[in-house]
Amino acid sequence: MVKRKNMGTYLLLVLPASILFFIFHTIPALMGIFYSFTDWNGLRPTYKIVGFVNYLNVFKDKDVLGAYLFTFKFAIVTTILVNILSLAIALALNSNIKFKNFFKGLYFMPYILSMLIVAYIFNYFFANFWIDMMGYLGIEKWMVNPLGNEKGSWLAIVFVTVWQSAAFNTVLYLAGLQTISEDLYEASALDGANKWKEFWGITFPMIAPFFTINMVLSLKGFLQVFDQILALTGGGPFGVTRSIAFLIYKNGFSGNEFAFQSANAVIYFVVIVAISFIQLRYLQKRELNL
Amino acid sequence: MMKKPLSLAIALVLILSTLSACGGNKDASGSKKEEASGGDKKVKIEFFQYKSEAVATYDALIKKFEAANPGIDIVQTNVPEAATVLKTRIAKGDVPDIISVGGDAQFEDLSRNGVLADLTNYPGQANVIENYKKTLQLITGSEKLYGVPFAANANGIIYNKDEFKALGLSVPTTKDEMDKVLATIKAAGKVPFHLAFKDAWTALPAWNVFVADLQPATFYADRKAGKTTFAAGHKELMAQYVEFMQNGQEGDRFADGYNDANAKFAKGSSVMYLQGVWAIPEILKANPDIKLGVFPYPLTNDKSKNFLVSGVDVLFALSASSKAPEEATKFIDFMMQTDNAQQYINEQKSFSAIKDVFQNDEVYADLKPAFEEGRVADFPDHYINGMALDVIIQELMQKKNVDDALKKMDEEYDKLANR
Repeated sequence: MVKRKNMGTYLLLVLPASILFFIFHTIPALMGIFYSFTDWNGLRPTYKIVGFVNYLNVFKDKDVLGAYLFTFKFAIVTTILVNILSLAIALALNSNIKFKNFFKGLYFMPYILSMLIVAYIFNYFFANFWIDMMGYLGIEKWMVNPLGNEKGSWLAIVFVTVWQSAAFNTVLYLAGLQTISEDLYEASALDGANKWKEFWGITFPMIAPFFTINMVLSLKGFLQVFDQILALTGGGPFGVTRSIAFLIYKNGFSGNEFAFQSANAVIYFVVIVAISFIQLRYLQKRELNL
Repeated sequence: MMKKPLSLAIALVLILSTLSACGGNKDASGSKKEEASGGDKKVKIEFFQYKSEAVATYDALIKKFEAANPGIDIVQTNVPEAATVLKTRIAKGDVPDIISVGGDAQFEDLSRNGVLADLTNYPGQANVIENYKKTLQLITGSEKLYGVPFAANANGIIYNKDEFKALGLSVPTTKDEMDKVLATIKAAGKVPFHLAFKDAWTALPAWNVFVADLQPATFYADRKAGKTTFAAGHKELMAQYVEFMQNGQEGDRFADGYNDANAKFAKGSSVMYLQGVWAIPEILKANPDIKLGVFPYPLTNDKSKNFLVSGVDVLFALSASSKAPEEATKFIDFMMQTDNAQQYINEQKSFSAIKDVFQNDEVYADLKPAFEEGRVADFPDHYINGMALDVIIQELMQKKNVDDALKKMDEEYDKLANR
């Protein structure tokens, strides 16, 4: 228990943050929920309350449906790829290799760069080097800028996102790997387990909580994908890479659909909370079973 | 365990730093009002303008203005995605004092929703060419003027004069002549147009001319009255437009965006380029030695129907909620002075909306007849506000399915009409 005389210090630490959080996060969120029940277009000085009309229309809108499909496709594929890749990198970095710290630093580099900067660099990469590279390799079919291509653009976004975000998950996995006691590996080595068995029998179960948090954080983050879309494709070509967050921003402000997209945002918020909750429940149960 | 004095000290430092951060912000936003109301302090006027090409030109003019008006501090704001940024700022009640946009759908939104002050009785309007004032009234559907037209653009075909000379070509004025030009360029193994469909809107300048030249004269009125559809009225011109747009570079036409294409055309990737005159400063930046010309799209064999599409490229508007409208108006007055307007159009290679200020650049020699004969039309896409036309046309450029595109236009039109 916290001793009473320390209470003041704890309050001092907690209060400013919660006040700031309330002012800059909770109040705007509540306002957004309020506007979702109005017909405000984002510019007009007046508006009236229209009830659930916006919510009903969200389910009928083709753009919203398209954005949901794209976002889920993107988030699921990216989450799986990021976790496989970062776990592999973490395992490699945790083994006895030379220049270990140098490589740790190197693999963390992409995360230091802002997503926007990464995206602009890759924008250039895809528009120029990619086409030359494919020409050099003689793959004529792929000599197009994937960002401007109906079928390739989402894969290009996945690629850039994996490249940038694997770094953070790698660090979490590395932290997890370092909590495993060497004794366990020594014991398994004595029992004659090979590396593959060792991974599934010791390493993976021992980092289960880290796997859970990585899966939940990545999926939640990728469901909210925004920066890379804005910088790489702007939702294009012809809207096939519009994520939900991007659609809310773009149509909410420049499409005069402020109230409608607020309703979309509220629904999306509920969806993400529900998914994260189910994911946590399921994965934590799995942790116990391992 | 941390000792108590130390933890307390850290807590205090943290609190102070957050508080001072807030305080700093407050100062920054609060000072504007304070300065605006104070008499001898500097009045800060925010000038929000949407043309990234014009930042340096405005900077120079602002410097000149501030030298003459030491009490006023003009702060230029130019951001990418200006339309969206401006709307987010208006949504939270942070409206710039002077707003400079084009005569387009966004201007319609702003004026219809009471964001802009009524400038109908602004004295400077007397110096503006009547036609451009009428354009603004058509766009907003109101007799009132919510902005002062300042500069106009022209949407023609930009061509490389040296390439034309080398191929022995002269500027085409009819469709037949244009077909010959295209055939000659292709026969010489060169590219007629460098296309940049990665940015959805880059196909729109040409679309606007096809509609302006070829659509039935009463199309928009009929569409509004429900007497026609895009599928019926635009079918033929859309097919011609798609065919015309096939004269692009080999390979991927979705690889480049607007900026890439400007640079590539400047380095000679194609003989002609389908962009409005606003692209010229950018092209010259990439290659100062290139010799450019512009001619109106020759889409029919009847020369009198080959319009030059020209719209209000820059207008100045005042925020209805500006704290310092007088100072802001002073800056608009300054910009409207003939010498400053001349400097602007010279540097930006655009046309003035102000009487007696002429664009004499030799780049525009081929446009002169159209201006003199009044063969000038407004941008048709300015009249279908809110439609995601760029996305529909971009898809059309990829799939070449005219019926599908027209169906989508009709759907979007009805969706907007029902809102």
